Amino acid sequence: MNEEQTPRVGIFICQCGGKISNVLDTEELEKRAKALPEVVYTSSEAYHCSKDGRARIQKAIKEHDLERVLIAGCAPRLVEKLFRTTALEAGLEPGYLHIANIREQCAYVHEPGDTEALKQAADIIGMNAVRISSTTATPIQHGRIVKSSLVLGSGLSALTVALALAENQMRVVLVEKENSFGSTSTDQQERTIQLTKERAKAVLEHPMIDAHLNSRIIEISGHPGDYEVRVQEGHKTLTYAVGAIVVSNHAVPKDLGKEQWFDREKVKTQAEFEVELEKSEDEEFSLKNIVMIFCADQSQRTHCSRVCCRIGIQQAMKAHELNPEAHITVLFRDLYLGGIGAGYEADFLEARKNGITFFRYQADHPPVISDRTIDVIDTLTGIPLQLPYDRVVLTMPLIPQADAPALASLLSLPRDEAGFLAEPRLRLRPGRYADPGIYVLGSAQQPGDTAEALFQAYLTSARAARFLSQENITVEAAIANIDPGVCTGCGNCPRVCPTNAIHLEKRDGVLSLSEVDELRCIGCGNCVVVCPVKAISLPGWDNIEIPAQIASAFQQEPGGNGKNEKSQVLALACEWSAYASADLAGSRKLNYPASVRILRMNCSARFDPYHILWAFLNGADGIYLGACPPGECHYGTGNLFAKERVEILKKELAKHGIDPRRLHLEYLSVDDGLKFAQTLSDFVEEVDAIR
Amino acid sequence: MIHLTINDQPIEVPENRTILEACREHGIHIPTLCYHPALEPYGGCRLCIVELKVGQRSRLVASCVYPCEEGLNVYTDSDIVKRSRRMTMELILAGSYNTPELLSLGEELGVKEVRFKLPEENACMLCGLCVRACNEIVGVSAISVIHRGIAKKVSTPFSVTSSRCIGCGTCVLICPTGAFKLENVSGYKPISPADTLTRRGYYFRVGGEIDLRPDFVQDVTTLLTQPMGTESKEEGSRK
Repeated sequence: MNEEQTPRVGIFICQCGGKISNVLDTEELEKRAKALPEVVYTSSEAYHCSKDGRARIQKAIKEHDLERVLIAGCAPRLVEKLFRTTALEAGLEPGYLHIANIREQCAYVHEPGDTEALKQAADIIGMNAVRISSTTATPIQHGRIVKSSLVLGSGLSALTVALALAENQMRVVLVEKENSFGSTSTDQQERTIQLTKERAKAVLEHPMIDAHLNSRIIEISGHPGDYEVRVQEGHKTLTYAVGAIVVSNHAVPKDLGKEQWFDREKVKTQAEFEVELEKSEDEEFSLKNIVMIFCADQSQRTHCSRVCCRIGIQQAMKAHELNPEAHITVLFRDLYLGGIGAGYEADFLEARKNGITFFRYQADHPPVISDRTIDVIDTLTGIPLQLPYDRVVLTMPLIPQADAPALASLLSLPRDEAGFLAEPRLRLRPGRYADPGIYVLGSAQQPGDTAEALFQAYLTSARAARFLSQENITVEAAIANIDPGVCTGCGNCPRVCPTNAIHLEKRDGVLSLSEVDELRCIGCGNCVVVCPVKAISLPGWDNIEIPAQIASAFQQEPGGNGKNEKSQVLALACEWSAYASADLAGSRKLNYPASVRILRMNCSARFDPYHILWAFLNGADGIYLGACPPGECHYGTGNLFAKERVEILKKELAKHGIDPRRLHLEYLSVDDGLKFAQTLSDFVEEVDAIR
Repeated sequence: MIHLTINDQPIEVPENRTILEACREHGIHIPTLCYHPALEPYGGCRLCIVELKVGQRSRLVASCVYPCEEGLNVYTDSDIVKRSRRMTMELILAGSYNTPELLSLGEELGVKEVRFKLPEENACMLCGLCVRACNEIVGVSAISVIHRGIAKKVSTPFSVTSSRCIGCGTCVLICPTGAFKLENVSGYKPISPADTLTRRGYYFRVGGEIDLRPDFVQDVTTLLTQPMGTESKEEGSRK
């Protein structure tokens, strides 16, 4: 300990209404706890978790001026939050309260009166007491929130969000790839165009909005609330700090391609036909037979573009207006005419009244474009039809823009099967993305009509404004801390960081230095293990308390002959898998040997080879490591790192005369209580045999 | 302070305590299943039932949710209480029979045999501990009680894999019957099981041996050990 004054520790031993005290002699435990160094207060009662019990803990903290509190009782998973709240109310930093599990991991797995069990319980308390007296609580990290946002795209929804945020006195950077606003909007209805024009004008004039045309994003770094974005406009590169990112790119109709067997003069896509219709408003519209085929692309059977049926019907009506003599036929597979409000069902009825013919076709018998006719089987009558045509209009699906994959990887957002930026939890939390500061809306997410886009835009602006108007964001998890005086800039830690929270900074021109982004760090401890000079510390799981705990676990009892009858086994248990399994094994009353000492770890990535060697040095006969199965690690790939390290370490151990079988890594799921008890018992037996 | 009588014994408790809390504080044993000190009381299992005597009349209440009141007269071990608990326990055992904890509790309450059809597998008894733990301890509310009547069960919303579930296993740990299977109820399963590590490598495998040294050292070593001229030859061949 570097501190001159040692902290005052209080230990509370719970009897759990007899569940613990029937197996373990809690009076004896209290006596042993009192003898531990730095312990100034002990207490033992039936229930510390009751309201009165907690009030007594608070009183003891205040009266005896306790700086560290250890509660020996049941599984920390269930009661840690309760007791930490209690501690906080009494003015103690929550990180300075720990739970030693003597119920699930000791009392439940042994028979009453077992002396080994009593020793195990005393050791568990001793280990945790050492841990809390040497630990440092995790300081709460605060991150600033930059009161500005980046809006990508310039469709109606993007413009609406930009205006809404700017009206709330938040700076907006608007980046558009094309050279004008809203030019490529999928919805070309008059009121949409009108509204887009009005909003575009307002955006250009707004003092809080910084609009860039012909520009694109080339780099995004940082974390929610504080992103750094580099925008390329022409040859210039501009850098902005923004708190939130709103993605509102439009979708584009899929191109028909060049190589076709049919006459491209007579077969047009919906977008091309729109242009044709607009042109012929002044001229004479001479087409006689028009056939429209909806869902012309294979992909539309599984991914509806949601606007093309409505646009197709409106085009058919326009064509009918221009030339009432024309025969207009619509071939559809399924009509999607939904929308906010009444939808577009009325348009469909109107079209039917005007004499536009609708035929339904089946997906397995799609219409065939022949030289002069369209061949199709009408579903209702089952009669094959041959429709003459002098214009065929094909409805192509709306697809994401070409740069969508790049954008998705820049923002690390998932994409759905059609390539749109998918909403991860559509059904339960619409409008919510992985990072709190990233919002995706409009046709970037899925094609939609104007009303939907506006609804989404208002929702998004409300969410983004709420996020941006927070004072700051706080993170309470353990966070790695790098000592710049010790760091050599070797570059190991950035490579193993699962969240890219560490990067190298230039120092003195030659050397480099690792720096941690506190708000990205998830506290897995992988960097602590790989640091060759041990410059990184992780409060709560540091290189001080864990070795101290290991040493305490194998401390000889005073008066002992220095030789243990049974193998001493240390189990390093990831709290998400093996530690939870150990608790479960306890609550299911599955026995395993009492000579095992279980040490709670945050992640298997933190299983440090040095700690394992230290345990062997302190007299451990075997070390059992419990990690999550591949793919289930809560910190990404910590378990795979652990596996690699164990493989290497086993070879090294063999070279130095330690039987590699003494080290065992087991994959356990969170509910593998039975497997935990079995594999641990087997391992202890195996170690017994080696001794 | 509130004054009441429990089993003819005068007791003084602070305000805002339930009868169960008062009994636990004074060492009076009351069997419970759905009670957990870290959670809000639920009154689901009905094993903590006690008798309240008011004048000539008496009534049964769940002590975990009934607040202490001035002058209450509580009996925790009267015949009617015992009978009620025995029946409740028998019904609970008819749902999940194979749990040692429940069997010993049944024995304690005097259930000699279960007169109902016994289940083949441990079934959930709807104590709600997992649902409350998920909400109050973990704070994610990934599971809830769905449907009503005999169809009532614990599941995720819409019975689809919950994206809110963090796979912490608190629900499994707190379940008194062992009926809770994480996979079945929360739909929790690993996202992408991968045996091999696909990432920016820290350890490099060189001919079956694992090279522990950082990348740049390895690169330098490779450069030094390479025969002179191989590199230039390669460049030449590329052209």
